[in-house]
Amino acid sequence: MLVINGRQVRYVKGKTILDTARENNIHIPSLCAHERLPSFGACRLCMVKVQGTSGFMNACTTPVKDDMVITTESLEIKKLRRAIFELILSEHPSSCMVCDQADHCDKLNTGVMKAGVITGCHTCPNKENCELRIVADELNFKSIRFPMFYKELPIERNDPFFDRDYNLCIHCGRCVRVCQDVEGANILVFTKRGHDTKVGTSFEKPHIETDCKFCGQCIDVCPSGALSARGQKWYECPEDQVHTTCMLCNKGCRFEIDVKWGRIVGMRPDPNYKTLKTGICVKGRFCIPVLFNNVERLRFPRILKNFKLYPTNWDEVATHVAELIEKYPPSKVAIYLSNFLTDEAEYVFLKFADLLEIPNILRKPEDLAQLDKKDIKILYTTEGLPNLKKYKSLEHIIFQEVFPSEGYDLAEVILPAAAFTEEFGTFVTKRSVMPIQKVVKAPDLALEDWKIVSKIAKELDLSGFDFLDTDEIDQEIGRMDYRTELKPIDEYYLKYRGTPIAEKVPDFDLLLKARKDREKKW
Amino acid sequence: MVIKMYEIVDKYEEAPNVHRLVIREPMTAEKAQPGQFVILMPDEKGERVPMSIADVKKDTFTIFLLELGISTAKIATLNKGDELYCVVGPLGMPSKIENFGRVVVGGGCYGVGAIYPIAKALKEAGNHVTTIIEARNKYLLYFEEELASVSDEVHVATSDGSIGTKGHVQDVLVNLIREGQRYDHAKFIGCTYMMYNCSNITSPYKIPTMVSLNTIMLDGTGMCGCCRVSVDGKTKFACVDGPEFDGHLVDWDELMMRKKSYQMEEMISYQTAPHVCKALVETILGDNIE
Repeated sequence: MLVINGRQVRYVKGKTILDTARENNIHIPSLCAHERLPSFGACRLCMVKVQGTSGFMNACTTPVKDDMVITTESLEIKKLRRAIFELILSEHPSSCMVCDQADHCDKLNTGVMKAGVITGCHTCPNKENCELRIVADELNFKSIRFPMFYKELPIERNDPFFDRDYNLCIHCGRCVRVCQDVEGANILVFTKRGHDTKVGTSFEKPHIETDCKFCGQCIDVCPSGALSARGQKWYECPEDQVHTTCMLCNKGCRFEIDVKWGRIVGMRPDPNYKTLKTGICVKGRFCIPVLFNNVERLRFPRILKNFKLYPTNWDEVATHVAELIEKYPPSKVAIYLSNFLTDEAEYVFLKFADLLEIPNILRKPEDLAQLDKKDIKILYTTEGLPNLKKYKSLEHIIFQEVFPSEGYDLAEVILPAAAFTEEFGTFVTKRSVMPIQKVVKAPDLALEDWKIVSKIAKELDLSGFDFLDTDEIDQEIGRMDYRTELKPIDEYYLKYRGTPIAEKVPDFDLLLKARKDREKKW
Repeated sequence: MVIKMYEIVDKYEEAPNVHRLVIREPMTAEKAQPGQFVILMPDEKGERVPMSIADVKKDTFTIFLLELGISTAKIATLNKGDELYCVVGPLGMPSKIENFGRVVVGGGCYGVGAIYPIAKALKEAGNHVTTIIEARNKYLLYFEEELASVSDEVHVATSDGSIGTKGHVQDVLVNLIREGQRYDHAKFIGCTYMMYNCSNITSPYKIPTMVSLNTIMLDGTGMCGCCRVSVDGKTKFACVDGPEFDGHLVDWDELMMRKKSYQMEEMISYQTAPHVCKALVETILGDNIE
């Protein structure tokens, strides 16, 4: 029998008091405990009274036993928690929490203060999901008895992707535990001792000089604003949160994406999915917003006229492509299928080729050698390809891409495609077939790959391309018993379609250059 | 000798986020008057940032830079001896300085520094100057002694009460007025919210109040109209008609809304323009850069 606050509760022996209480919907405030991490007992906010013991016990480190009688709320405990919290806040810029103008200021103050050094909640990127503020609310915290001590530690923003301000750190050790116990990387440790204790790397090296993989999990578990992702903050509350699968490699990591202003503003690993053993990688965690919000994205269909690519509309461009394809026998046409196409897009492409009896489906750069041999005149590529100039037989290149990558200059028709965050579909991954969700709208006139092919197919009077959405395509795929295969794009694949990711993400470029001579890739 | 244009001759972090920059630009320094501002650019692609001139010495002028976005962050990462891409100024109308009698000046954030030349000029014009400055905490306070040298009295307010009065400039001002102090004129520089609050306080006591508005600004010479503010129902340009306006007549709601206009662009700019420290790139990657 176990009693918490006078109520008999169900329990499993060996579990901590905190877990048992939470399973029974009894709330105990805490800052250092995290469901994914082992107990640590750093913040000591979860103090409870256990009958028959002197003093107070840590709920997060004490296992439950038979016949325990626990009190989680009493005047005495409240007083103790308040004092503990005041001590925590005495080393955390807390002025905004005790400011009498706080509510009014939140409503009226102009925009986000994207300060370099965070000096209060008002300038903090983590304000909207700060756990310290939640606890302050719970404890109805309005004043602090102790003078605030500012540690004056230098701001660490020399690393790619990370901004670190350890003046905000409350030493909960979550980042250290996630680095050691979950990721097994041991990059983040407690350095120094006693009052000087600080989270950091060994010898205070920048992360780029360590073996840090930049998985960003330390940022995800940080309860304060001490750790933040440089390109993924200052957006306050997101307007929407969408879950999707990363398609930058075939590992199939799920992400929760924050959307605001119709843009991807923040990302974190989906808490409901367990990532495969090798963990979240830097590409998925940090590169996606920078990559797809890029101003260099292809936005309008274009046709080459007078040596210049003029923007036009989809009707005109579809007619133009249809005319081009009709001009030659199918054997003179080749389609290059990118590894980054969704299963649906790939199926529609193959159906298109099948109905037109186009025999040349290319899937890897080596296949391009066939171009000259078979005297191919038209190449419809869905990926930027290197050295297209050397294939003398090619007369027309139809370029369907996300970025103006290699081959853009030689193309006659440009078809702007949506990136994987801008379309629905499925994708074969190492995990299983994973769904892709549309997170944001594609920029300007860019369209999903399958929609582009369908448009061209309809222009060529082919039937069976009246799909309304990817579900209809999936139903047809089911009937055809067609199966797509796992694509050869591993974790260390450095391109998205034809574009090197580092070219569009300066921080990633910095990381790759720094890791160039080292055995580890990142 | 290499002649540097717009050289930063001295740089010092007064408080977290607040950098004092001394910039050599003889032509600006020669003409600058209290209350005027300059526009700086960190690099070719940087934003044009307006900054109040806080002091002038020989051929240099001082500004207090509050780091609040990607362009100010870029300026903040420059060091002593580096050059700015461009400096335009002095811009705007000088502050109205005359013998008002008893004057109160208030400053917050960068305004603590920016209020200095105005307090100094008012003092020289024979006024009794009361200076009130605010910060969140005592470690964020700066420039107190310098301000004390040009004021008759200096009052300090902090949000958490770690030094001086717990509260803000307006709270100190209210206390002083209730104690029986009389003021003939008030000038405030700081964040929009602070100036709004202070104007609200002086309004019932009918103290003429001037506030130095920090609107979104582009060219600073009255061409683009980005910096428009409604004052007494009329559209004014903060760059050429201001930056000082009557705090009781400014349409504060509109001003605060307008300042939020480019929130998305400001956030997205952090994704593609990393302000990675130049020195680090050179030292770590020096040999690896192709």
